[in-house]
Amino acid sequence: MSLQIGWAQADITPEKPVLIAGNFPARLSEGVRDPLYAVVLVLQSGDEQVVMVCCDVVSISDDLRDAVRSKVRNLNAEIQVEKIVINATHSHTAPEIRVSNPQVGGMAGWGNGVELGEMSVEEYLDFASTRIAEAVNQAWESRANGGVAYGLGYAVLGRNRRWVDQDGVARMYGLNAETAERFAHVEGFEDHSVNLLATYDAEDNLTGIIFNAPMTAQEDGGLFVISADLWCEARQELRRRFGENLFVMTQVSAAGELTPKLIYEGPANNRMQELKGRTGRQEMATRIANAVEDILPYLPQAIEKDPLLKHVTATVELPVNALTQQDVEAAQLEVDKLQALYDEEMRKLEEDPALKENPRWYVPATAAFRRRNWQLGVVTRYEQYQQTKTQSADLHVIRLGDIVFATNPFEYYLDFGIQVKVRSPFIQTFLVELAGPGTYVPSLRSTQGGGYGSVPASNRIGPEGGQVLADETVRLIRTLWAD
Amino acid sequence: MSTPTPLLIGWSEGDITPVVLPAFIAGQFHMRLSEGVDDPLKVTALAMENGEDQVIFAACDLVVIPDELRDAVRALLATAGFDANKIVFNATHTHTGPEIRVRTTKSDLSQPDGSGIHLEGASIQDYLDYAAQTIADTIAQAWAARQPGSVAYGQGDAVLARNRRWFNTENKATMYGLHAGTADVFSHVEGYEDHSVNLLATYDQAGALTGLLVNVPCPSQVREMEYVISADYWHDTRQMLRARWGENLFILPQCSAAGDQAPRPIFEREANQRMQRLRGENGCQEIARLIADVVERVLPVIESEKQSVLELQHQVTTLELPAIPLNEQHVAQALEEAQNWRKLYEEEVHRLEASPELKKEPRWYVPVTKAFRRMNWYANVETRFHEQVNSPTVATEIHVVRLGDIAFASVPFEYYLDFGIRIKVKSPALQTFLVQLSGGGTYVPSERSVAGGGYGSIPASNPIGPDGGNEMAHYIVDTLREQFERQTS
Repeated sequence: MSLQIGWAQADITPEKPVLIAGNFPARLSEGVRDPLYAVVLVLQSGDEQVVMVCCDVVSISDDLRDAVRSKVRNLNAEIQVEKIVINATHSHTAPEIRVSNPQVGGMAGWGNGVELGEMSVEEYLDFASTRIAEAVNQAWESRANGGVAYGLGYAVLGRNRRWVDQDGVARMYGLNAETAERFAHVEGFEDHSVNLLATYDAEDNLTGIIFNAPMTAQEDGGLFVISADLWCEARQELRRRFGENLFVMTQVSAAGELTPKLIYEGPANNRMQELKGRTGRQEMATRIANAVEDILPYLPQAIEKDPLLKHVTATVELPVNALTQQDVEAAQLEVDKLQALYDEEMRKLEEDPALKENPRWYVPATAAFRRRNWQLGVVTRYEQYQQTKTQSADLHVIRLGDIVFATNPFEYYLDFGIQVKVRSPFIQTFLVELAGPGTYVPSLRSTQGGGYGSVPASNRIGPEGGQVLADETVRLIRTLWAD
Repeated sequence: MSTPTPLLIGWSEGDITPVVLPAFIAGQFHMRLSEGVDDPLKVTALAMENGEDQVIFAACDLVVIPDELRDAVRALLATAGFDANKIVFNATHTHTGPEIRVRTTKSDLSQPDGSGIHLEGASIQDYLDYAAQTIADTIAQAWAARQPGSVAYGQGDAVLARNRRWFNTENKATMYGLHAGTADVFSHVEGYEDHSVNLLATYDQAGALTGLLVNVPCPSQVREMEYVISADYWHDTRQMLRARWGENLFILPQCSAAGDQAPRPIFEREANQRMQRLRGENGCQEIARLIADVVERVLPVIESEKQSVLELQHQVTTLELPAIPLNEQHVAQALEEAQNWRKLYEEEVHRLEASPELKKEPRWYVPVTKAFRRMNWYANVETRFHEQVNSPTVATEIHVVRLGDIAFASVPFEYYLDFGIRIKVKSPALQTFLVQLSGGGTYVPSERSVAGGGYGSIPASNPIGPDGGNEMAHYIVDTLREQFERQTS
């Protein structure tokens, strides 16, 4: 059965100021540094189809996914909307796409505590989903016979950001000259594999690539401007080397505890960047392009025109973190403190409205409020836990010849990702995290050390749920292999 | 304090390929008799001196540097006009070099009594004497070749060595052994990986590149199961670096802390092999290309940073580190294993005696020597247990060298990565070049690896344990801090 391939790209840069997602303090966008994109790849073989969409956003809320599917359904009845899988690059300089919802909780669960007059999340979702749906339809309509080839390479991109001290206590970041004395080891592993899928047209001309690596797009996560982060430079560099019409789809493999930042050897790294005259983003872009260059030239000999395509979707019920009364009491204490801090900030603003003339005047108040929300989410989750002990997660597992893609909605700690890769019978396993709203699913060993990302307050799903997810993913992968 | 004078730099390279063959090849439990020479083994010496202090690095394509080799070289250089104690040896850890550990070598935990069966191979002592003379000559030549020059340093990264230890769902650790049959009990890779490449380039007075010191946490053991003499990936790397930067380039390899690392993945192996096939390169060529690519990315941008006057401080000390505390339970467990291997060994001997024609088959000696040396490896736990009564410490030579804003620190062991990262995190140097296997080995396991056990992290594998490993790390960090606080100018 011949493979049909279609690509498209949509610009999803907001046209008005928006709230930027990713950090505790609210950030109102002060401009656009570079555009955000949604990139769409359609694969069809006989009756089987897959629509992969990658967006320059922090995560994929259910609202965004459902809006895209609904609009695609209206545009094109041939497309099976449940076969649309959307993943995020995890840019921390893109619009908020999570509608405020106390039932979902999190830092945006109860709004931001301050009126900023930004484009509402709902309005941006409507804008973005319309653009994405049109791009899906365009990719579908443009599909034509072609081929694919895959390869594996390596690049040092995502680095482990968690470390354990000599007492066994873990931390995310915070390793400096002062804390170094207590450093014992980097908590977990790093995965520097780059899984690459290249697509070709009927004449074997390169048309696009999927770049799958355990690296999130958060080199410049604290900016107050809209940006695709390092993927702006990376796409430019890839197109400079491999053709200006190249489609570039990004997938983040399991990388819950990884970021592009180093927690040690920072000065040596910074010196090298300065000597090379590169920013951090440019350095990452160069490494990405170098990795592609180490693989791509060897793939044309391995182009396949009719690989087996199989796409299964599943909803798995994961056990949620068992929060204790103690967790709730600790969280409530923090809620009270942060509420007081927020009230104090608001009082200052009310007493002296001139403060609102200052740039980013709202940061202290929203930081307190959104941190409060985060802690309040623990209380809410505890109440929910009394009613339901599971949370559903949507998975997509896609076989393409001898390789497989497996998605999950979380920031999935690496130990689980490696487990899936080790247990997968396919020659290459492209894991795709953040094909949903997130957030952290910590490894068992990380919860032993605790710290942000690995305590119940950070995670709706703990190691137990993470293991169920890994087991179920492996089961689905093996089912497709047996086909 | 006086002002340091401009740096004098001298290089030399010697050939330590065994000339009497077949040689016993070092690096596996079973004996291997060399069946040919694929490429030459080298010793590379780099001498640096600034009027205040001196350092001579001597890298050898060998599995380890036993004390007997170190002491023989120093004895030969006793009147050479420099302090022979300032020689920092290191082995690339090639597993296809000649055996160089003799009966007195304490660091060899597997073969205090040879191979258990008569084998016709070149004398190990003779090779040691030959290598010692060549290494001494090469060092003397490097010292004599000293000329004013400059250095520049930089850092890059390349995915070379991979962590080879994994935990299962029962919290047991294993080195290698991860495959379809064991995958379902895989929990996680035990430790970390370090993909930093630390580079020091030297230049002559005219500014021309003369040599490269390449420091990677990657032991040279891609071909570790083969029966030929080879420098492993460092041969290919030297060729590739010279192809790009000139045939007279000196290349000094150093292996950073990498006791739990090996130059191959424990998962995604099939995908790796496929890529090697598609590229038409083998494992050694792949590593050579990756190293050459890093050098190509680093070298052009550090040339503008050349320095000819810089701080050089070199402290050598011998620490008495606590031997891994062995108890009667360790001994009992080890002797039980030794007994199992003894049974196997005796069966193999009997099989060979009953059918002498078996000795005509290629590599007939492998099973019997493997059983014998495994047996001794376990039985040696009891010997060491008794020795600890009178000798509870292990003499450990450590070098700590400050060169401007960078530092070198050597340990004689296969030092697990956690210790190496601990030193790098705490070091005041801008780049810290760790040099493992500056002596006889063997594994110094991390705390978390001992919790899981397995080869490399059990008493039979370890002369010293995590306590000794930590003591070394503390000493190195403290010494580096003193050096970086002290100014000679």
